[in-house]
Amino acid sequence: MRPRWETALEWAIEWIIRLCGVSAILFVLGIFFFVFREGSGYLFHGFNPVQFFTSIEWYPTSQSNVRYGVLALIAGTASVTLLAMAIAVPFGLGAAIFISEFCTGKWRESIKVVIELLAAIPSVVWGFIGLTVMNPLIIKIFNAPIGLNVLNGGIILALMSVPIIVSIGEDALKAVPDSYREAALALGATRWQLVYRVLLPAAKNGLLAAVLLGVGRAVGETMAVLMATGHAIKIPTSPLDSVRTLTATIAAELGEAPVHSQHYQVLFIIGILLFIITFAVNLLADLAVKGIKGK
Amino acid sequence: MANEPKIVIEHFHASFDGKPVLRGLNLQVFPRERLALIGPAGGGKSTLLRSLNRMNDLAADFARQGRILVDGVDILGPHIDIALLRRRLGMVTPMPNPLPCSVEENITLTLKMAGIRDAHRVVERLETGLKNVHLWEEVKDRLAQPALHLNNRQQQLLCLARVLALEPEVLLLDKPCSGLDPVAANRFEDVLADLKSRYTIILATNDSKQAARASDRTALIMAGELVEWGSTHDLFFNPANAATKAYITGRF
Repeated sequence: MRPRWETALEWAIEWIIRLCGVSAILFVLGIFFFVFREGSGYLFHGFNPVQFFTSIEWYPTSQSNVRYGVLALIAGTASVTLLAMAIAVPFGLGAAIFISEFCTGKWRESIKVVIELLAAIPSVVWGFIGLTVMNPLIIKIFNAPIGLNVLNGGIILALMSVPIIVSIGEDALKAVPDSYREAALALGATRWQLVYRVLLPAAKNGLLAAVLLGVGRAVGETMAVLMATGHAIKIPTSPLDSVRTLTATIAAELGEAPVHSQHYQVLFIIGILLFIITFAVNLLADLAVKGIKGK
Repeated sequence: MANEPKIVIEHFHASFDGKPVLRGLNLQVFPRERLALIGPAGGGKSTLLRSLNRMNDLAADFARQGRILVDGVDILGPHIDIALLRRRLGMVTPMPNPLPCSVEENITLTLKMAGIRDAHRVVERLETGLKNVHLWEEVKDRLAQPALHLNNRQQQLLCLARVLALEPEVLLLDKPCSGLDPVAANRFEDVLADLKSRYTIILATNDSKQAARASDRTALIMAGELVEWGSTHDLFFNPANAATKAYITGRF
């Protein structure tokens, strides 16, 4: 017979652990509830979804002509994210393949450490690099009037997304059983054929998840894009145009909007929109990972 | 055997992480004969097979010495096309290892990687490959299904068919029946009997009776050394070495 206190202790530990697990769900629900509550007043009274999604006019503080159109902001987020992914996906997946399949021993470990270091850099530092390093560089190279634009933000975001894509992509490749590698090599596959014909198809779900989580990172990133994209509300026509993203708008304006004013509530509606976008991206990534096990 | 040997292994040493596995092995394999490698587990049979197609080279701690000649050319040399070597010396591993694609793609992908793209030839080799291993009738209506849905015997036969589709010169069979039940193992042996005298076959096995049934000559390898080597009949019925006698009668 075990002492009573031991049984009680085990019971307590089990419940503490259970609480920790459940708390994650509670926090997410709590955040959603809070964001939704702050925006709900206007969302259900007077909110014009057609104008919200189709107008490029964002005049939240105008005295005579208040407009809450976020199309340009969506375009800003989309353009920066798209450019970031165009850079980060090939580099990230390439690095993941290199680390997982072509690299051994010390080399592999050092590259991984460096990439993890890349992930640890605070986003305000990235924004600072965008402001002070990339800005003059872009002006010089492209002869642009200003270097704070889609290109600047896209490159910065790409650098921030690469570590996620690399580490999750590498995990996906490492999860491919070695017997597949053995089989393909014994059949006379070259290393590249092994990667291209066997490993990429076998790991495709995990790699897709890696890309989607990279997208999620890019969409949700705030400080760096706020500093690097130039803060101009317009639909970009070239990578050298300045834009403003959804996240940057919230960060820049929330401090100045009177609490519970219409402007304040619209900013929370943008928050809900962002929440839905990142939730959808993460859900897709999750489904992609589940696809691996389904097979 | 008056003809030139297909494979000559000379003073071959192999070690993993400094621990010797093969110690100065000498062995010859003649064209289109069936050579069985028997001996206790861990004695070096697999290491020998995996040295022939250089799969051991993938292990970072592997080291070797000596020569292995195939058709008179040292395949351990630096200028050997290893991918081509592995297609010439096709291997079947102890556990079936089909690729995670369909039955059909396991063979067509193999051919594609070997640079065989002509659709007509691919289809032809797919069918003859599966017929050669007595699998065609069973799977001809399931070609598009995932290979991993086949049973163990079918998977192992598919792995053999995949190798045969490459039209290899030598088959390296590394305990191919160790994952099969006795009935399935018998059917695998039936297939091997059909392949007799069409390929040079080296069969490593832990089952002495299988060696007696499915080989022309047998080599007994113990602790990395060749103990005895001769015609299967002589080795089993008239062993020259006391250790051989002890091993084949199960008293080792």
